[in-house]
Amino acid sequence: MADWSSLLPSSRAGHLRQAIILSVILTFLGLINVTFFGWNISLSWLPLMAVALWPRAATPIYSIVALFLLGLLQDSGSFGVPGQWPLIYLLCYAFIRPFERLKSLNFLSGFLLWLLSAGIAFVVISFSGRIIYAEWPNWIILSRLALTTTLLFPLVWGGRRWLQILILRRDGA
Amino acid sequence: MARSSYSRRSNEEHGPVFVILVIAILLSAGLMATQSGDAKLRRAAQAQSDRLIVSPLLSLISRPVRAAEDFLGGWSDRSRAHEENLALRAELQTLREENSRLQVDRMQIASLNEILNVEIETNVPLKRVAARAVNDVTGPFLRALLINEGEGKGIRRGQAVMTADGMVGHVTLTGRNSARVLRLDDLNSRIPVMSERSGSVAILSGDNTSKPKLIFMNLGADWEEGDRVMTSGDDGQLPRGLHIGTVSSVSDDAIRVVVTSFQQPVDWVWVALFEPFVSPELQPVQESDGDDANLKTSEMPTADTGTETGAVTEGNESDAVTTGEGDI
Repeated sequence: MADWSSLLPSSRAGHLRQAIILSVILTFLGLINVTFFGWNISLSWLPLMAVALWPRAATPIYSIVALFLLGLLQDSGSFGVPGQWPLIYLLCYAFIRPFERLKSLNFLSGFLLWLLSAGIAFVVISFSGRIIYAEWPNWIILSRLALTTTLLFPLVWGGRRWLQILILRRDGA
Repeated sequence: MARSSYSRRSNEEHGPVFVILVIAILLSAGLMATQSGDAKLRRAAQAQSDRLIVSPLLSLISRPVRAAEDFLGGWSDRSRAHEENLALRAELQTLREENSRLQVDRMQIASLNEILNVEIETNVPLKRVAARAVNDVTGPFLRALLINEGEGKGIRRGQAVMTADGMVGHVTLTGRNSARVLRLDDLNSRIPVMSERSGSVAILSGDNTSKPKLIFMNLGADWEEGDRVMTSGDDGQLPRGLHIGTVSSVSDDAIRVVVTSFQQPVDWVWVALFEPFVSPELQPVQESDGDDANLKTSEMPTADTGTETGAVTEGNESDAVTTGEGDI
């Protein structure tokens, strides 16, 4: 059984870089809103998928800092309250604890982690919104966000795998 | 995930990680608590982010998406075109007759104004800036737009944003080349409105549904289904008479309004460059100015009549397109 703690620092940095690049790409893709036949489809939860699939080999402390900054980027882009997305990302990271994972993720376990992250985001957005705006969220929009992003999970999974191979091969890890 | 796939390393090994994680979580929660609402840091950060990253990047990457939307939208549009053409011809005939009557009414009003020595004018600004909505943020608590013009074109906070169908919202944050627009259906949107038929006034309050509701109505206010709703201008921040939509339902619980501009995807918009009224406290009259100052105040113009170069230029029928000589 492979143990990430035995990996070279360069390899661990490569895993972290891959996760950050994927998150940034998904953050910008998530800013696009598409309207088809009157339906506004938002993909603003896409970067959360990168958090759910955070590599176990990425150094935890750097990962926490990166997640905090990526959350602020997401807040800024989505015109949200600063702190909301860092909170969601960090809570997901705390629940998932990828640095304690012994095995690499397969598609099914990755999907389960995504569902867990989406659940955490659902709860945090609902309650933080209730506190900040004194209103419950629009459940339909919230559910639609979760659903549309879930449908794109296979694509993100494939993209992550491709990025992983690209970066780790280039690093020679 | 089965717990067996997780390591059982001691807390000592991961102790510092958990401490940092808890600190980061508390920091995020603290940031959220202090930066909600209208905090300056939040606004400054978002304006910078819009200017440097979000607006230019979204303009670029939304092009293929827009092209796809236009292509797909084009098919359904073509199928409706014939029916609409017939309806429009009939409507044009009616409007021509209506226009003739209005011309006569207009001349009568002008002559009456002259006899009575009164000056009645609309304050709907004719000076407008066209912009493209590069992002339509529809979240569980948020309905906003990002447009690709900002302070560089004279856009200021509070100004009304329109489409050809009516008002969409108002500007809440401006950067150099971009601006954020709060849509009328956002939770935080409050716009003073009136009924075109009865003149009853109310506040149009967004509640994150597709049909905002009317609040703070007078007792006995006269609102009926089908009433056209427009801005009343009572707050001095928006001009009077901007079209918003129609009343869709009147019940004991709420009066709901269908916002006309939301019936189509919002793409091109224009910003009405309206100068809000300044309260007297912010514009005190100096005693030494004497009568001159009072005269200036009473003659303060309420409408802009210029037209921005390169912008949407639908003024009234007598206004030709002019180059930007606005005073903003």
